[in-house]
Amino acid sequence: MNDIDFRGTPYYLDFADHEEVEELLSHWGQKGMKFRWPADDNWEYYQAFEAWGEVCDALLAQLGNNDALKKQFKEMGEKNDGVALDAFVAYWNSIPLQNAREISHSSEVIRGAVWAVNRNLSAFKETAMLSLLDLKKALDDTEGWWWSRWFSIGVDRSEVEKKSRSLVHEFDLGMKPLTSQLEQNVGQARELIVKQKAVLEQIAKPMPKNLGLGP
Amino acid sequence: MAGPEGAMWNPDSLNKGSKAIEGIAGAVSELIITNDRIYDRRAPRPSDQRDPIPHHYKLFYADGLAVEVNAAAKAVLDALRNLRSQVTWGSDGLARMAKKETAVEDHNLAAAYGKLEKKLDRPEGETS
Repeated sequence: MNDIDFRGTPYYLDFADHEEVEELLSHWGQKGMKFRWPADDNWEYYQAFEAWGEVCDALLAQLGNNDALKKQFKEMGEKNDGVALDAFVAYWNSIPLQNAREISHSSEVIRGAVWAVNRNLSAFKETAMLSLLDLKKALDDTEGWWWSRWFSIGVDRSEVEKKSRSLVHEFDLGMKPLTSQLEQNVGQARELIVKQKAVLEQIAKPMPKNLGLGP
Repeated sequence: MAGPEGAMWNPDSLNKGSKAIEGIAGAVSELIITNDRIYDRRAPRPSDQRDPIPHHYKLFYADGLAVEVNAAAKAVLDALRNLRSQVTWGSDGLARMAKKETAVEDHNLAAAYGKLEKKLDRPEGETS
């Protein structure tokens, strides 16, 4: 078991009433689903979602929607005329302004992707938990059936085990489409992030030196 | 005021423009510092929290994605650093135009901006 304590996080508390199946979920998640409970806590992705939001608005406020700057640029255009100013305006619009928009947009897309992963992991865990509760109830019922017959006429224990295995198998089959859907969703989120990372890395490429633009 | 080659030239407005852009470069710097401190952005960190054996932790759903989220967090910081340089070049150019001996009819300055724009502009479709 992972020693990270997620017991105080909101998504953990969602499942706090189901202590009886926590151990089962932990075991089943790690061995069968490659999913660690509670270590793979989606709450981290929610935190990441919130953190990614901050850059988007701040950048656009500074470069794209800055009224004071727009006013200054308008005044410069009205009072100056020449090839250097034209070149500056073209440069400003196509490089710093465009890059600010792209950084902001990429951050927004990544933000959406980590949000989606957060929701998908949460929904998956909730469904798995509820399915396990059903399985546990069905297995308990089976054991009850076995005990009642044991005291009355005696019964072949293998029949109970066979039925139990069948219930577990049914549970595994029921979870397969959900696992597949989770894999697909996480894969899509990864694709989005990789694509936006490539945009950011392009903007981050090493810059030329000694440009002779200084005063 | 007429520039050296007869163009309209107003150093005061150019200086004000340069200062305004300089202020934006400062704001981007602040943004870089703030973002560098947002550790939560890289919250799903497999190396910190997962099984220390790499081929183990890579098997899990969240970890493969976390690697990309972490890399994107680094990329956005690097992109912001370059953006700050690009903004500063805008400010530097306007300050140079405002100087008496250069003015807005500075063909060298125009050529420098043109070359810079060409060098920095990504070929269409390269990242899409």
